[in-house]
Amino acid sequence: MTEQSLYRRLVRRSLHRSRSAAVITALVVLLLGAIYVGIESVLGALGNAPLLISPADAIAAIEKPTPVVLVGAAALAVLGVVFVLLALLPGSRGRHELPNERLAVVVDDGVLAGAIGRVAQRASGVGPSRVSTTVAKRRGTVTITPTSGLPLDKAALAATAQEFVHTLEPRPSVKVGVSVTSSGVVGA
Amino acid sequence: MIPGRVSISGRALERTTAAIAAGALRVPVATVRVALADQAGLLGVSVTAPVRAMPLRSTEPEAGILTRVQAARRDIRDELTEISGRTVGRVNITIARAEIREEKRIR
Repeated sequence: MTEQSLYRRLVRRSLHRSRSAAVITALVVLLLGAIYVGIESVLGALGNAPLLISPADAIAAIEKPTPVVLVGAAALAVLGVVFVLLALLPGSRGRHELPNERLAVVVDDGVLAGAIGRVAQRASGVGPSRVSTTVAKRRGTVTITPTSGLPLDKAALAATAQEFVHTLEPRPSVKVGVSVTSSGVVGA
Repeated sequence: MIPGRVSISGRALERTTAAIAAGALRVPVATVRVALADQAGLLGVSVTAPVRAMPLRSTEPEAGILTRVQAARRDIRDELTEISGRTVGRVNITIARAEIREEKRIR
């Protein structure tokens, strides 16, 4: 049981990027900002000269923004959006999990693509060099260049490839589409 | 089903097409030029060949050249599909010259 939960955690770690780097960066920036504001506030309260800008001047600058202040604000807004995206997006690493009773198995999407592509290539009867496959999170695409005069059954090839994917059961599940290029190649 | 696959090289297809065209037009293979190209997934055939013609003064009845070349286009398509298994798209024939067959005097 504990082993199972450990595997689940390891697989999750392998499938998703860690957010720790983003978290550390965000907290350090926030901390430095807070320390700076504190220092300026104390200096201002004691009537000493400010390090960069006194709190009163800063408030005035925000109320009547100069171009420099506006650019700074825009930069901060972009930074904020980046952090929000880092926090909300799944941070996929281009890998899939394969179910296994005893092991935690994680494969790169390229490996999955190669396996799917080979199955489609064998079924299509064209050479390996004429098949290219990509796998994204939930979608795989096999692109085949046909031999001139030998039409390929797109639906049948897609079914064959999909059947192969079903035997693997990758998680998240992958739907395979086959596209046949409009122009073929005369020689083999 | 045995693992593996069969592929036919472009050169082989061209030579085969040349032989078929030569037979259909009844001219020597060496005089026939063939170019194969893909046409939206179909096999496009372009043949440049001479065509046999009787001398103008001949009185022997003969089908018109265009009629015979049209028939040759169909023969090329059908035979090439039968031999190579490829679905043939367009078949273009360019008549390069006429090969006049002098009537031999009957001795």
